[in-house]
Amino acid sequence: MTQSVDAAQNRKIANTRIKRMKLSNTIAKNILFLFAVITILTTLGIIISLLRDSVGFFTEISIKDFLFGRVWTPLFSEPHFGVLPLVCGTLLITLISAVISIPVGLFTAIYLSEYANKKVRKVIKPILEVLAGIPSIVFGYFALTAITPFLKGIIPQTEIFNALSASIAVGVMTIPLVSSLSEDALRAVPDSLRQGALALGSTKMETSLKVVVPAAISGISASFVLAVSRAIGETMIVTIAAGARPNLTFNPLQSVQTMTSFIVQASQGDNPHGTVGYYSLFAVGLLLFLITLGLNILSHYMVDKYRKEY
Amino acid sequence: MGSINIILLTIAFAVPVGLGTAIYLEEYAKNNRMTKFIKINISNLSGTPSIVYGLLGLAVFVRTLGLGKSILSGALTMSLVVLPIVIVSSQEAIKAVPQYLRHGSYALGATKWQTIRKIVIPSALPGIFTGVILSVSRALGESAPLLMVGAATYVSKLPDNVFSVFTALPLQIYYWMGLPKEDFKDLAAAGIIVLLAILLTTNAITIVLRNKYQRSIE
Repeated sequence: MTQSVDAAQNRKIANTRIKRMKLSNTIAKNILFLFAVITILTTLGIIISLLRDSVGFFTEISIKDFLFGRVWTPLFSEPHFGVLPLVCGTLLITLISAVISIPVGLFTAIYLSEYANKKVRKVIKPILEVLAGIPSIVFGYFALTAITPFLKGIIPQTEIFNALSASIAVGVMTIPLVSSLSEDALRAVPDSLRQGALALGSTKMETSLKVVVPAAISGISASFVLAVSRAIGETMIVTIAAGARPNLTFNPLQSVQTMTSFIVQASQGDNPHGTVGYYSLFAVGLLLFLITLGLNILSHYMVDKYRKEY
Repeated sequence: MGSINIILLTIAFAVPVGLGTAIYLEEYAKNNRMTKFIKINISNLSGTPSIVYGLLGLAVFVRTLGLGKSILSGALTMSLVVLPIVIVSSQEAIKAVPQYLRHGSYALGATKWQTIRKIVIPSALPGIFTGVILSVSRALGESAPLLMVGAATYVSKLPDNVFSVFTALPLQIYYWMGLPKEDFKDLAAAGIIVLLAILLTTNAITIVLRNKYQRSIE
């Protein structure tokens, strides 16, 4: 009699415990899902906050004037809001930095993946990682106090704030990004391809450049795109070293202003909430966000493609 | 002090959310559209320039929520900046936990949540920790978003609560560089050395931890 009561009681206790376990399982799952949703909310938050304040801007300035105007003087008493000089400055810096980071990064990656032995890799990889971890403000200081005087020594008409010196610093900063992503892509190429090429009598260099690199090309180009998107979004280096003159020029020795450095400059000045000057921040930010978003999606698509191949 | 305050709050916000997201994506999420969307979204977020986060912080935290130019706004903005780093590195760490540990736990009758809490997280801990340190060093060096949120450049007293005005080391360097006097250039250089010393230490810790961790898995 007592035994069966005990058994029933035990079963009851066990049942409630199982129920509780199941309940905490469901609760945990839902809470974790909420966390994941926060990341989506962040993107939505960016888009909404940029759009909301850009609308205030575009009610006063037409989109056409904004995108194709050639004069950018938001802080003058008679302001002009043509974003072309900023886009041009951004483009100039991005191009020069890509000229530096892409070849250096790619060749570093080829060396690390195809030639270097384990010991060398163990030394170079952490160095690259440290380089990647250096804050951009330090690169900015370096550009202003080391690269610019150096350039002045070679070309005397260089201005104190110039696009070239900032671009070099941005280029150096993005080298680790290119090299580590390209190396991943190169290492994903199956060894059978290399062995095949070597068996046909090609040298190691021919194998690397004509077989391995083409095979990894989508991953490598994805890393290029990411480096470009990083250079476009780079802020502190260009604010410090490239100056703040919106300048429709492709002369790298002059001072230029990029989209990012305008945002910093304008947020530093007194632009009261609700003025066109304040809203212009968000319009430029929106343009910047859309450009980098496009580039990121492009690189994502490229990586996806190369994953499918192997 | 401003930097330390920001970092501590940033960790407090970013780590639970980032870890939670990583666990959800690796353990619970089904392979459907929503999951794919979240993943693409995260990779986009990690590629978004930090200054755009600064604009978000300015519009949402400073203006709309009325938190003002405070440590709290700065830290919230910064946690969004480092969130993708925490998520991705935690995901990698969770992925690296061998499947048989999970199966063993299920075989003993544990629920999914118990398995995650008692088996998966403890074994993925070193990897998660690496991600946290990485995000700390990123947050330490990041200046653009804080500049946008409106960190002050001259603060003489230590902040006393989360709503105080604040400054951070990189911002201080930026401000010093902008001053015309030659002495401030030296001050900026000194600030950079301090910043680099902290960052190199955190990076070194990360690398040592990772080497140790890799060995233990092999």
